[in-house]
Amino acid sequence: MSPETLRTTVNALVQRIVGAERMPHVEAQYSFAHDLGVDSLELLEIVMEAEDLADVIVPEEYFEALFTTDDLVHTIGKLVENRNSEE
Amino acid sequence: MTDGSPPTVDDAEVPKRLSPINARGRRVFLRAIAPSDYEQLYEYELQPEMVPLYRHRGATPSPEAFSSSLWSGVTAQFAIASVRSGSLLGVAAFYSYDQRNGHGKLAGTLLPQARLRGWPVEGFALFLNYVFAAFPVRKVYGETPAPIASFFLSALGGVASVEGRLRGHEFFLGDYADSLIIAIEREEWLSSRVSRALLTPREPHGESE
Repeated sequence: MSPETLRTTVNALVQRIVGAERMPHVEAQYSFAHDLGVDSLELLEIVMEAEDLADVIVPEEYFEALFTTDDLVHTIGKLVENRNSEE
Repeated sequence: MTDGSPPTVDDAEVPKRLSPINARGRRVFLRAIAPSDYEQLYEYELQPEMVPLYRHRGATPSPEAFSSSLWSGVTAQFAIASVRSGSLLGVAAFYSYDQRNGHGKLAGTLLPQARLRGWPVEGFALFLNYVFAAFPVRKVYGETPAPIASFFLSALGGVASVEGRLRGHEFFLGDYADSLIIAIEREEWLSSRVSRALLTPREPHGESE
């Protein structure tokens, strides 16, 4: 999956969870807390769906650094890359 | 009539899971509280800056009284621990269970190393699944002073709703503060994606057989 496709896929996943009213543009970067008003449980939901999508688990220290949608895209991308290089 | 051979059960009749309870999440798991946990909880909850925020609201019980107060009125309680390190992160409790009317109360503590990190909320999600699976409760309540309600709502806001406000109900950090009654309904919780995802355990990549 190209970085751009991953970004679109992950952002579409976030939009599906929070709704298009809160996240009108799939292309843009949003802050989970400030722009989207995402609470801890909702962020957990987003991360779990992204994990299922990419077949990875986001470690605690990465989870704590997820402030924006781009952070999530980069994290998932990095974990997929690490997994593929191990295989 | 049978031919005397033992009965066989079609695979399709065997439930995939015998219990709807899953105590292991992706980053945290629930386990029994051990007496060795008491000391950590005691030291944390009874720090001068913390004790007004927790159950004892400023009072400092003895270690013995603290240990028994942990179980006072409690129907179910577990430690929340890290999958990676096994270390204690906090506690989740279900108390004041009203069987007749199908409700009870939820309380929780997160130790400093688990606060404001986001992922430990998975422990409360596992615990809510547990409570709704183990007891016929329609909803669970949380009661919190309004000045610190944001801690509760920022964690579970999406599935929790404020059902009541008791005005000037309790003396809290130097003034009389409102108490908020926050409710989580069974159906709403069990239909949430997080609840459903946690009922289907998933091993980290590379750890599954």
